[in-house]
Amino acid sequence: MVRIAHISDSHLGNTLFQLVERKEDVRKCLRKAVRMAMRQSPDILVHTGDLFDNPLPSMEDLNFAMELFKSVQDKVEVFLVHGNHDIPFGYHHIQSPITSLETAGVVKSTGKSDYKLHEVDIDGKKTEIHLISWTRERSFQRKLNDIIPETNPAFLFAHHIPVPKERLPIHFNYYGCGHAHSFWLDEEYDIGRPGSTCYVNWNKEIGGTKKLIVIDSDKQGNEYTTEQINDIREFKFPQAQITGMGPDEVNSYLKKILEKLSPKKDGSIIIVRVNGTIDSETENGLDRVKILQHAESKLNSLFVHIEPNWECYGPRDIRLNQPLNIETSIRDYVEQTEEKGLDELMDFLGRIMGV
Amino acid sequence: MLETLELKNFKVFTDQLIEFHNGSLAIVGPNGSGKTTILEAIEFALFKRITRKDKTVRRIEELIKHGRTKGKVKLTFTAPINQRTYTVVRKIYPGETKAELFVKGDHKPIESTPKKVDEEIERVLGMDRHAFSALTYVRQGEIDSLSRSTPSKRRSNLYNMMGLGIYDNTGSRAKKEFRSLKKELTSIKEAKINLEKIRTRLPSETELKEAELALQKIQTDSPSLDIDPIKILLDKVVLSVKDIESELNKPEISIRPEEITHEMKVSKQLQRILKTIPDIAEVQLRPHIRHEARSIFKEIFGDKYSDLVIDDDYDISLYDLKGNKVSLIAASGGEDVCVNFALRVGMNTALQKHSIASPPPGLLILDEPGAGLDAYRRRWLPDAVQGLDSIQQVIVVTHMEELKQSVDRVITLIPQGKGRQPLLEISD
Repeated sequence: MVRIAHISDSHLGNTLFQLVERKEDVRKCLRKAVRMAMRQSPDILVHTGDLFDNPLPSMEDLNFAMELFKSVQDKVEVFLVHGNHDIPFGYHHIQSPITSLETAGVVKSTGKSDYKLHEVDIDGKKTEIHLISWTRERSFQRKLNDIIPETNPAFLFAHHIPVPKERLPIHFNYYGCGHAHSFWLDEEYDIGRPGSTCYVNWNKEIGGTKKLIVIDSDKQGNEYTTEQINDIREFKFPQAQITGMGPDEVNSYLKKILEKLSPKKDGSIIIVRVNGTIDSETENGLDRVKILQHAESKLNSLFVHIEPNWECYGPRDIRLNQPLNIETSIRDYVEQTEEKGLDELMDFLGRIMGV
Repeated sequence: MLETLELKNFKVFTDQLIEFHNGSLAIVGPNGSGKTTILEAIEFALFKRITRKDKTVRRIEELIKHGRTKGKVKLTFTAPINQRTYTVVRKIYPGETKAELFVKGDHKPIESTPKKVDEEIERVLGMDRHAFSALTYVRQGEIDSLSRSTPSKRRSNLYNMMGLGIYDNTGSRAKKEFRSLKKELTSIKEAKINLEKIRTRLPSETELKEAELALQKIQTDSPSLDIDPIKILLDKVVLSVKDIESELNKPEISIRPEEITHEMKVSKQLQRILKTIPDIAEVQLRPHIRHEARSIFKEIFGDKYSDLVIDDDYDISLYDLKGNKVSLIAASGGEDVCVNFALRVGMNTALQKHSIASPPPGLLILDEPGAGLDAYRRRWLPDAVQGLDSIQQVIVVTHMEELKQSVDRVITLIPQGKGRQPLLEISD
């Protein structure tokens, strides 16, 4: 049996909202993920790309990665692929910081090119690990069609798999990828993506979770274990609905929403997504500075952010003469907001209502 | 607003005349005796439709009494818009209906086709059937469901009860249309690409002309050669080039895509507006609903509480006579349900006054307002019904005996068994 621990997208050097504190957080998150993986005592540890946020990482980050992988070197075989953030523009794999790690002998990767086959000996049995780094889509497709593994089990890891799962060749026991920062595991097609180890792009990651995937593969097939990886810093994503409120109402409402939160630790990051439809009077009357300062001091947070997701319906308050009559209401709305295209709207409405 | 309702072979009724007067009326009877049928007949007479728990009765002949071939509903009502009295007669045959609309007393109908009658009734009522049902009808179980729901749920429930759901429905229709337009656009694009692909494989017009000239030259140089087969071939090629050109220039391929993109834009705009309007409408109506609900509640519990306050999240709190705030959970002597009764009925009265351009219909229909409540929790209900005297006509359908004392008139339906029509006992 082969046991593989799969993590991805740690983005060392990423600073969310340009907060320097995040640099250390990101490192800690990766260390935590690796420790969680090691607790499962895997034969192989794979990181599917975007180890660094930038192909020119800081010395601190490079040293950190070097030391981290060196510390587990004796217990596990570490494989890395180059992600799109790890290599400079133009697919210059030789300029990737991961190549430095490989040269130092702490990890195994794809070297100077975008593909490499590694053979590992597990319990006296040869196992092939195929690595594909970030590359052109066509080149990826060609590789996928060309390579045929000679051992069973065999595994393929890439930063991104731009092929529909139904069209993947069947001779690999597991396909691992990264790139999109959300967790995904398809046990039918044996394809997995652990998600990022920390919050990098919260807007896309807000709905998903981040997990460690552990694959136990043998002749009978794969067995999966997953473990939640939480960011070291506490994140909260409250939502607010401000439709139809006036400026004062919104200000006190948002303050109230923020006050109600109770972060367990100091220094949390709080992102309020504010939805709804308001008029521009309200939008202009929003006292963002006061709300943010108030919340930061009350909650002892590192950072509070108001994400404007509201729609502003224009400068005027609209008066509907017959709120239950679709036609007159649309007419009122369009006339009072001075929007264009009333006739066309009416034609279209008539058509869909079948009049 | 309603004067008389005449039913012939309509569901359980063989031949029945029901008179309505101003004031309150209770229709009482055991389950299945035909109480709801009377309400359905009113809806059918006005709008040719019956909605039962949001489902429309599909087959019209289901309304005819078993074993008969045709049914008839005749409703006389006063239109709020001009205070004239109309009589609408609808006859039901298997698969079709006929309708006539009279001004009361006249023998000649003013409209005599179902479509025209529907339009005229909508005009004189000043609203369509959605608005009518939102304004006048409190459905079974609505009050109970309001009192069981959380504030946010209550808000969305009220939103639907206000009849603002039509905007959602229309919005999803616009969305559907958008999707079908998108589909059409891609199929046209694909067709265009295919045609263009074929065109690239065919020779251009100048190439064809050159070929023709070359052929002519061959003929003049050596007239003895038989070039007819080549000529026929060339003609065929010329024809197919022309065909492709004309296909590509057809308006379905050249102009239609632009039209579709424009329509898609309009659809997006409409979807956005339809999403905004319900909120605007709700905000606009909210103060009126609060006002009405408060006055209804104070009518009933005015000796115990001083105020009913509904905040923006439809969170309700009460104030006792000393000015203390009492949370709704603490006030459990039936007040919690009464608050929701006030809210629900206040919504109807507010809508009647503020949501239509024409005068209010002055009709309120309560279908089993006490459903799901035990005797103790509904003991205030007779008072509440009695207090609704600001509305001209209140019809309560119930099997609560205690409501009999609080209304002006009672119609009791007594089932006669064997499919015979129920006996009506009318008491003033």
